[in-house]
Amino acid sequence: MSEKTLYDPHLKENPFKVPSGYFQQVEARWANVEFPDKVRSTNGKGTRFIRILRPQLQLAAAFVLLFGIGYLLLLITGRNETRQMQTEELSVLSEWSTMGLDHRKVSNLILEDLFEDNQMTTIIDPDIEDLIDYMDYPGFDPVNLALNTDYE
Amino acid sequence: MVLLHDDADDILQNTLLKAWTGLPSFRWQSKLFTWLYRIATNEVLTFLKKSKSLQQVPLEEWLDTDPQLFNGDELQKALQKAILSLPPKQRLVFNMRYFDEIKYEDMSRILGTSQGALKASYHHAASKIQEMLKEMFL
Repeated sequence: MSEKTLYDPHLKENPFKVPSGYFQQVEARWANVEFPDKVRSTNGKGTRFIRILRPQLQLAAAFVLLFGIGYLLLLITGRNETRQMQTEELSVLSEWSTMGLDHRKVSNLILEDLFEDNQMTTIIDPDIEDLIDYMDYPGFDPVNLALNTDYE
Repeated sequence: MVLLHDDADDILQNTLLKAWTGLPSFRWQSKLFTWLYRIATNEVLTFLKKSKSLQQVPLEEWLDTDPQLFNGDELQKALQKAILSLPPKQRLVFNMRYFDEIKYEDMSRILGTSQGALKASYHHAASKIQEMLKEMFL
């Protein structure tokens, strides 16, 4: 037998028979088959639309989640810096209070120095960093709250 | 694949019922032919798996004993017996390619296997059948 025999068109013919009268009985047989009462229709137009867009929606949700996490991290780190600054400012104020200084007197001094008598000012509480700079000013006596200009 | 007409009839009925109930959820992303053929092949493989333990008469013997079933000559009978010796999935690949002349691309979508694997499976099946036919007719 040659190798080409397998590809003989005769071998590819269907050798099986259908029982006689089969197709005549098909309709009657299928009439007795119980079909489900309602065809399962899980998708209205709306849910089908969502199913089609599901991959894109999932991608968008992932991006929103990532940005949300990034934003939260920024907020947290920003709050920590503020808290750290506040802690440092409080420690300066507590150090002054141990020396017998009232920070309100220092702030009043700054205001007197910074503004003319007849100048209107809207500032009530100067920035704590201004206070610290004032305290570090050369010649400034923090205990007596006096400025010695002859320090040179 | 199943040889017996009654079994083929039952499988056909199950296939069409599943297609009927599953049609509303069919997304039309593949061809209807591919989808239907996939349901049919799954039904056939499930049937063969279940009937393997229940089969009392080997399928090959039905070719010799039931004249209403088989209408071919000795060469065709030998070919069918050789095909029956293949494992079910390989038999399926061979039948789809040899008799139905389904393209490997479509076969890949139906069976969920790569084209390369299908080509290898068919080539192996064809070689095996060639050898068996040679032995039968020597």
